[in-house]
Amino acid sequence: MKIGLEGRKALVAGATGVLADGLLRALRDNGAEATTSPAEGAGAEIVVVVSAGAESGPVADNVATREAEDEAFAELARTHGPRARRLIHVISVAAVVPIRGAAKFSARQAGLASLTQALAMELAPACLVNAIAVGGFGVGAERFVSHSALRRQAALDEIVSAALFLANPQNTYTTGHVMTVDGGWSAGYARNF
Amino acid sequence: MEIDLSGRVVVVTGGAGAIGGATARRFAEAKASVVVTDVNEQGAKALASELPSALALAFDIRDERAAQGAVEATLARFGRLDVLVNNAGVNTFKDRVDIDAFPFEEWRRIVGIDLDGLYVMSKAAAKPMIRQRFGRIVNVASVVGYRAMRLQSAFVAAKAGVIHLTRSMALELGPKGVLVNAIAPGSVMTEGTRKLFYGEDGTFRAQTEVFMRHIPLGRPATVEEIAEGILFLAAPENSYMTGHLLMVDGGWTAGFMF
Repeated sequence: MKIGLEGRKALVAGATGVLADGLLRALRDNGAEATTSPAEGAGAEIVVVVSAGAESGPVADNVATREAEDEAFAELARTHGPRARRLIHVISVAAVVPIRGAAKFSARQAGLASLTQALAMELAPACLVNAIAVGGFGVGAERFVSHSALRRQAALDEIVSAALFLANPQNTYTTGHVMTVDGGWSAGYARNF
Repeated sequence: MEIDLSGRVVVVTGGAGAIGGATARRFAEAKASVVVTDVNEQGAKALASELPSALALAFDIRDERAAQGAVEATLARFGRLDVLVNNAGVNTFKDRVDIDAFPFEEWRRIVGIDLDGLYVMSKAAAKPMIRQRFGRIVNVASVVGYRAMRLQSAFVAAKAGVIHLTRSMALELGPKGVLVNAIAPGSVMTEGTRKLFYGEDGTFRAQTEVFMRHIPLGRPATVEEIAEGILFLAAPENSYMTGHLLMVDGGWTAGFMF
């Protein structure tokens, strides 16, 4: 799958790691001038923010660092939103279906999804704002496998191709959408009980 | 979006219609062989004759034996079936009334085509896809299956059925290599809606203006924009999304635009 991003400036911000690296590489492979530096990315047409941090574990855990994610996204949106044409927020599928043992993480991810949708209304029609809700990837992904329709974890490319669909200049009518890339995990109960 | 579907075979139901036609053309552009099915034989043939590798099949989507025959004809001609786009669907144009006045014949016609027809085609097409251990089914739902709307109860119910059926098929067919997703177009500019909402006739013009203020992008979709979403869901590159409802609605269902 190839999309035409020649001559377009892109920024990948938020959490660093394999996902951010893969997204950066894909944007470059499709012709974008992509960076992870918010300063260099000033005026970027495509802004990708990764907020799908690791799960927090049981309720009492580590609240302060996680609460920073929605503020970080809002700040990036304030700074880059007015010039951007595509804003893609990478979050966790816990935004759609909460995960036991990760209550605060799930609630916060749901908040990030809602923030993405509210922002879509504010930035329309100039900028399309969408989220990818990722499941079955990274830390804790093995837990997903027996509960998802596809019975396997996600590969990096599979998440990247969903991001490319949303970044595609030919995608001009999807905004405020939370796209689940989760092997069917959030569609229902895949197991035979 | 460049997607290479060389050697792939795609069946588009309701191919003589606006979204179906644009979808068939988009798949042909991606180098797929396309089977255009429609109850409108002339329309299906006219479109197929314009595409480089295509077959037209005319039948009523509610007829299980005919649907099975269409899948057999597809396999006889092209040897495989990779993608089924369940696009055939109807809504009511004449009976824009509340449920207490909604005619049962119209209810049966709409649910019969939009929901029964989709079941019949999916059942027939899933068999060769399971044998190949590769398949993509894309169901054309609607925003009204997700957020209910007035004056079209049969369509609302049928499309909600399509969305949940998508999920149940995804759970069943996922382990067999077949991904099943749905797309929810918002308001789309077609011949039908041009007349009813956007056109010279003007019956609904005032409502249409108010309605557009509730869509963040402030305009109806083009059929090409819907086709682009369908193509992505059908592509081999989409290999981890299943049971998903992709909204292509200009942000309509993202929230309330007061």
